[in-house]
Amino acid sequence: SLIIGVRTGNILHTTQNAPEPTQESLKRSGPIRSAVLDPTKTHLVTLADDKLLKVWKVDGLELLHERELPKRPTGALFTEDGQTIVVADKFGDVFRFPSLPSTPAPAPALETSTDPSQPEPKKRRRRKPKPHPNPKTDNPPVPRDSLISHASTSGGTLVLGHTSLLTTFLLTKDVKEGFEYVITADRDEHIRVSWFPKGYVIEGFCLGCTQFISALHVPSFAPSVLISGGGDKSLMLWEWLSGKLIGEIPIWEKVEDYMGVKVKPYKGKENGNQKKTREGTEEEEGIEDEDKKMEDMEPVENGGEDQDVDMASLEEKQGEEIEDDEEKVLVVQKISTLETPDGKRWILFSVVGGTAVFLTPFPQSESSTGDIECIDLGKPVLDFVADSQGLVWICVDVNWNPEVTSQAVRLSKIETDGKVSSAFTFYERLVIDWGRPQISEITSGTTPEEVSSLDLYSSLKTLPKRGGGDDDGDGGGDGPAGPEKGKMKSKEAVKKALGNGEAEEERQVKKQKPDQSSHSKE
Amino acid sequence: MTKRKRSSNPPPERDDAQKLLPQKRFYRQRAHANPFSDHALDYPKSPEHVDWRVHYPRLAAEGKKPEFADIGCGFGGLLISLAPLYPDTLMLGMEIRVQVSQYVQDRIKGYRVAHDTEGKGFHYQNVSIVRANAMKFLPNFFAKASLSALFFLFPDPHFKSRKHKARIISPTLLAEYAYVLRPGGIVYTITDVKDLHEWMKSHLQNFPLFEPVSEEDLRAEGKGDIVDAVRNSTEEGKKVERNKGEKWLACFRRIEISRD
Repeated sequence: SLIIGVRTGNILHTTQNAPEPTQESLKRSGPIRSAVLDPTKTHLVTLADDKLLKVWKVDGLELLHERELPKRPTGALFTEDGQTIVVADKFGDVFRFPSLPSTPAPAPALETSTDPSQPEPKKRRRRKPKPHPNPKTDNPPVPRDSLISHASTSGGTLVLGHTSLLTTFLLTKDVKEGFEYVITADRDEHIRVSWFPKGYVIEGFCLGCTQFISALHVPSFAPSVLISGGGDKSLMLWEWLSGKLIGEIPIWEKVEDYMGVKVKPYKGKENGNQKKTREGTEEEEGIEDEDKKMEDMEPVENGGEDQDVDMASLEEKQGEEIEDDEEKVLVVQKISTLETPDGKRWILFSVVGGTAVFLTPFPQSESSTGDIECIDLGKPVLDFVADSQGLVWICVDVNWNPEVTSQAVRLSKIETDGKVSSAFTFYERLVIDWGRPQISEITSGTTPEEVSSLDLYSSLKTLPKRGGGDDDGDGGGDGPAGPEKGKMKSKEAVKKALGNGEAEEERQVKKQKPDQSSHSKE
Repeated sequence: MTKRKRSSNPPPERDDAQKLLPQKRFYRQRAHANPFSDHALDYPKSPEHVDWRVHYPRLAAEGKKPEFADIGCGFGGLLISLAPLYPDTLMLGMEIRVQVSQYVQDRIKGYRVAHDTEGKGFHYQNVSIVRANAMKFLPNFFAKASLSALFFLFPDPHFKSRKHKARIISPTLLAEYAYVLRPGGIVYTITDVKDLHEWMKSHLQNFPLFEPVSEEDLRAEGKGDIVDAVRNSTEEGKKVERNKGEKWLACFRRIEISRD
């Protein structure tokens, strides 16, 4: 870890000089995937490839404590008051933790306190507007394993969960009342708006995306607007409280030219193959007892589902890579907005494996869409940050296409007309200083194995859904002619009774509707 | 459980109306489908994108929408029982298994035709089924507070503790069920597996947006026929009867809570 002063370019803090236990902890956890500052910029949270939540003091980069998380985290945020850390995990759950853990929790009481900095017992509270606690209707003690499917750890409290890989989330407030909300997005095209901290109350959904969502942003100059991006070829703009879609910005045409990293796609066959064989044998056992066979479908534990149902690993198991040409896959990585001193408003975004940061004016009305400019870096963008002066700090993957050298961190400035300049004289010294031996040693001192193990572009393969086979199979359908023929008997009878005209009509109606309005994962 | 020995007599002849109905033996299906994986499923982009006339060609015309949803409806026994009792209410079954949902679809079609052409039985125009993964896509079908009843009848118990997260009642999914149910709406659960009953009951009890409602209260509200159908009308329910098992009912009402 490094913290570098913006003005001087000097390394202010580094963990290279940290005490042994901290160094050990860092080594064990692996590369840092995410780092977030609290609102006062005095504390830092880092997440790595393990299940630890680490909190540091910025001054001196002192590791304050680490806590065990229930599952591997995908992202963390501080609440506005800095008192709570909210963590999303690979399984699809969001938990919250007090920023600084206090001493072990007192025995759970029936009434709860509203102070989030105190560790809470592991159950959610029911808040009834009753003046006096009534022993008859208050919560009975929770059986130990009642939350076992979404167990919390380290004093964490479950906020909410998706039945899908949770890709990104943010915390926000509504303009009118100032209530807090958490907006979560997943691989199954859902953007969900829930109360915070009572994440179990869903305010609504922003539905309409046809692919996974991987980036969310609420502009500070337009706090009722949500911008989302993912696999869809446009960014979407929503009025997030009502769920209404208010704008779309097509991006693929521009972005396509800057897709540096390409991947061989998975072809979704997944577990279907195994299960089909098992089903086949069941079929062959003979259809003796008509009713019995159906009734005997007792819950048989499925051998094929042996592993822990971790969303990410399950979805990564999809299919084998086939020797296809490499494809350009769109995964929006990050969305940000900026209001430059001249009052102009911009949306900035990057895509996974893309070699540019893109820039487009924030739409003033529903129909207006400006051109998309880009800051071309020639190397895949890993992350970027823009400040209020229009300065954009961009971190690139220097190890990609190593024949072309590049600094690891680049600087750009957005001029008033939206054009971009690659360096700005006042900060030139900074840019040059990145080449200082000390820093370049740190940034480039990695072996190719280490670099590939970072797996920086894995989402290009794991996020898109490839039309899977039915894993419950058309066991009766593809199989012996008997069941199909048998089904046809009743279908024929129905057709005959209706007279062909009506049956045709019915089929026509059915054919039209799904095309217009539904998803087909073929 | 011993299997019944099939007699050597051929099955009895089916009359015309019965011939319209599908026969289960042609719809074999293993009991499980993994709700976490991607199926080749059709599902709507959002509730506004659903054309309910496809499901209810006669009754959805005036913009009517389903109010009852049977999650994991299996062979449709509950819906078939409830349809004539609530002829003005649209009901939808959701079933993830392709063969089973196909069977129910064919069954409903058969009933509708029998009513129209032969004047037999109830019209069944108010009941339909969709093959869907309710655990993932319930909010795609139903808008906020659009349902008045949700049914979870004899759900898959997923006995092993590592499979508990696949259970249809979970602390995270309850938020979605509360979202689609209007305040005052009822969740009906029933199972013959005591452990699952305790699980569902405690999860619902501890969920701030649900409060328990007793069978007595439900009957007093005039919902006794629904409770009876929940107990007795499904294949699972009948099987439990035959095996002299116990059924445990647990019902909850959707309530509202305040911000703080």
